[in-house]
Amino acid sequence: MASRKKVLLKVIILGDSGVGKTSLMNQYVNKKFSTQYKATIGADFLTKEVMVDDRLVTMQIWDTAGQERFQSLGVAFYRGADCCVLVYDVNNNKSFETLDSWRDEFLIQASPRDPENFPFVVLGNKIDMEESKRAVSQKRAMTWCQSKGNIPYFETSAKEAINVENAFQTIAKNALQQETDADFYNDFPDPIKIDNDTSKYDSCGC
Amino acid sequence: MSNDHSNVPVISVDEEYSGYRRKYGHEDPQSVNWCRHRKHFFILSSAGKPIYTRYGDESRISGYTGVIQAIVSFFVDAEDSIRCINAGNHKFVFLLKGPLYLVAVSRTNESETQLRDQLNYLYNQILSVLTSTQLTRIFEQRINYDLRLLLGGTEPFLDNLATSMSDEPGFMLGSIQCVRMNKELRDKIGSILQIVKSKDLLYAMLIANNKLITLLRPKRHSLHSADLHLIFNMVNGSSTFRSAESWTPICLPKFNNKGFLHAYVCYITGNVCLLLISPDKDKFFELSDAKSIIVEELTSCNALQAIEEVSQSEGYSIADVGAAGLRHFIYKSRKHVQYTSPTFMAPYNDPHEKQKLFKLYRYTHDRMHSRIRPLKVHYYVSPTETILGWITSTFELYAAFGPLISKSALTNSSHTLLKWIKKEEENLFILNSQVF
Repeated sequence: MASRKKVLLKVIILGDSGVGKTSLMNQYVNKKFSTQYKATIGADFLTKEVMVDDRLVTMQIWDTAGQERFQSLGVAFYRGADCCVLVYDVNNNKSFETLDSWRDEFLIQASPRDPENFPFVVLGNKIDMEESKRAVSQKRAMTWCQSKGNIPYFETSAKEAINVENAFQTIAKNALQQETDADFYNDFPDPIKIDNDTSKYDSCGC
Repeated sequence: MSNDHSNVPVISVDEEYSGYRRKYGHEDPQSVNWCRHRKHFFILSSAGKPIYTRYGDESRISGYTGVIQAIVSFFVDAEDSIRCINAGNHKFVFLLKGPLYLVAVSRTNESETQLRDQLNYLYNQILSVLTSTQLTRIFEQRINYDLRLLLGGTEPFLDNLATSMSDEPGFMLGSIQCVRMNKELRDKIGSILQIVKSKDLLYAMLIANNKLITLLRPKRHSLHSADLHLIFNMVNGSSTFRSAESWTPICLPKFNNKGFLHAYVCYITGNVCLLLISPDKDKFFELSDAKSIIVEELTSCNALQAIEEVSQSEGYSIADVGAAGLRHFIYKSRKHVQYTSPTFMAPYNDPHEKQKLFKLYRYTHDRMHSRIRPLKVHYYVSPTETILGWITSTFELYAAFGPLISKSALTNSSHTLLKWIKKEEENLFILNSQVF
């Protein structure tokens, strides 16, 4: 609670299993990449501090399980997110086609106040693979993003650290826009009217 | 930041000086030392955003608060709510209060109920700063809200409360302690407070060292001990009250959790603090004038000097009681919701020994208040003490004797203690507070 300028943002990463959600997060936070695949169980959490427009922002990154059998964390889990990152594998057509359902699922469960303008970011990962394996073209991905209200789109490689920093900077920036400073300070509650107060309770006998 | 050194602020913007340095504020939540603390408290929003941690920097425990949120969410899905996890020596106790989740992680011997009571005190402390109206409204509008933005600066009060709850039996007992004082003197002070009663005034009180000297209140509004604990915690939690007349909004949740009262706070001697509480936020000057009148009257009858002297003395010793074999005790008057306890003499003046004694009291308290099978009398022999717990319709007693005392000696000694308390009752407790 030290500084007024500090703010913490909840960022949720969603997408099919094996598209590289955990790798992206690890590359971004720890600057590390491992070729070994380990399924995320439930969720992992990482924290990273970044500066966005002179403001110190703590990103609380919620890395979720892509595999259905580990998705049992409940509807309250997505609640109060500031940004949702949708990840697919550019070499895997199915992982792109499920983005729609990931997005819908998030909007239903998180039920943000203004779903039309809720910040999403889409990442097409694994662009380090050879071109012949590519299954989803950049154009196709961008068209989809445009149709969903101009979602920012990045093509990334967690393995070779391409565009990762850039993408997360945009994520932080867009999430921060959700955090516009509402003026709660002047929202002083009504004064207590003593005469109307007839509450009875286990009081101190003195 | 520019390279021109003349532009560099004395305190870097990244680490804005908040005027308060926490003892364990920079501890790394991954470190052994951080894990070793006996009792952690965490407060987070229902979105999993950290709001408070007793140790370390809350923004660095956001991974843990994420896990907590995930666990809570898992049970919410099954229309259930998690209450407690027992893991080896550790207890994880959860209190879910709408938009706020409070969690204690403890390896003290405190019971689930005792820890949950403590979480309730912390919750009330947050309400005292925000009111439940404001808290609810904020999260209704913005469930992702980072509540630290509104609570900033109140961390010392949560820290102070967390410490007090381990050191003072009043929280466990749900009662407060009064300054032991000659009844005539207390009455005289009370009648002086009566002079300033007005429609601007709801409560007037004098306190010293977290103990109540006297209280003036309207006939229809008594004051709950939980609210008094918040008042004590406020006065005790900040040194600023010692240096000036202060005027601060405060919500007393048991009185009314929906709105603020306003407290005029001023030390009238080195130890004695006067509080005048009003429902009206514009009455600082009226209450400041009232204070002057009170001080003048107290001075003219030499009461001010007398109160200061009493408040400087450390209370009474176990020897004053004259009960053979009795080492220490806590006596709560159930009717008056007040307790009394002698000073901690050897060996309990040693913090370690004192904690050990507290541990035995806590254990006894928990056994006696068991929801499944509450007890009237509990007799427990540890290697170092024998603890008697005794609850009747009028009192609750926890008394410590040597480990070898016979039951008959213990009974005799307890009766001696009760007789002494009866004789001293009007000096130990406020039996009838001043009303108007």
